[in-house]
Amino acid sequence: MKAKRDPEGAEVSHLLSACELAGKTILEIGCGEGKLTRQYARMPRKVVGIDPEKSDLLVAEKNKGTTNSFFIQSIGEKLPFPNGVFEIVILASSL
Amino acid sequence: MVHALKEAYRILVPRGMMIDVRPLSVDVPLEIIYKRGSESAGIIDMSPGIDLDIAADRAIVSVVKDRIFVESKVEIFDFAFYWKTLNDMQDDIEEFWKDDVIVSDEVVQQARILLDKPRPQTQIRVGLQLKLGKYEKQN
Repeated sequence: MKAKRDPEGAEVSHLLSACELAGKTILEIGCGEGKLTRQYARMPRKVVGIDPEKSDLLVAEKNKGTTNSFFIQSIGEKLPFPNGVFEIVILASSL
Repeated sequence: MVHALKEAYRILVPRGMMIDVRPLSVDVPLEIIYKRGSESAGIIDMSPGIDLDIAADRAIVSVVKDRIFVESKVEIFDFAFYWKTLNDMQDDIEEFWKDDVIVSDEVVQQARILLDKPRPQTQIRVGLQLKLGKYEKQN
């Protein structure tokens, strides 16, 4: 993407005011290139981002800058996780 | 969509939180901003995405009605994209939002006229509205 996306940080600011992320285990559905993920990834205990686009996930992985973030190719309708393992699910423009 | 929400329910811990954040298909101005102000080049038609908005809202209503999630917060806020050139903006629209937005030739032409004015730090700005909903998993 050639755009500067939300340089004011409105999305992450509203996300942080909506819920406490510190120490939590988070799944972000529709993480794309991880632009939102990177803005909050230092707070939770663990973040898993999923997206159907492999090329976007490669960018997300390359730029993640943390050791607690993981990116997996998947779709929201068929999540490759057992029951009850995440404390927060973020549907990032993916519903 | 309901299936995706039920999957979210499945992998959440008891009383876990689901955050639904997405842009709304509300028509917005395409603005040319510069150091000391801004001008609108016209309105971007977001109506092609309305059906998806309605379907997403219905899916949320469905899982709330089924009492698998309880709504605890909904808010709408502004969110912006910025480009340096019209070509960059048009490339992004073609790649990411081709089916969701319509930027008329008149708006593009007016944006071009405004961009050609000699003003410092000129950029293209499209401010969207994002909806954030917070829902708690029920047992």
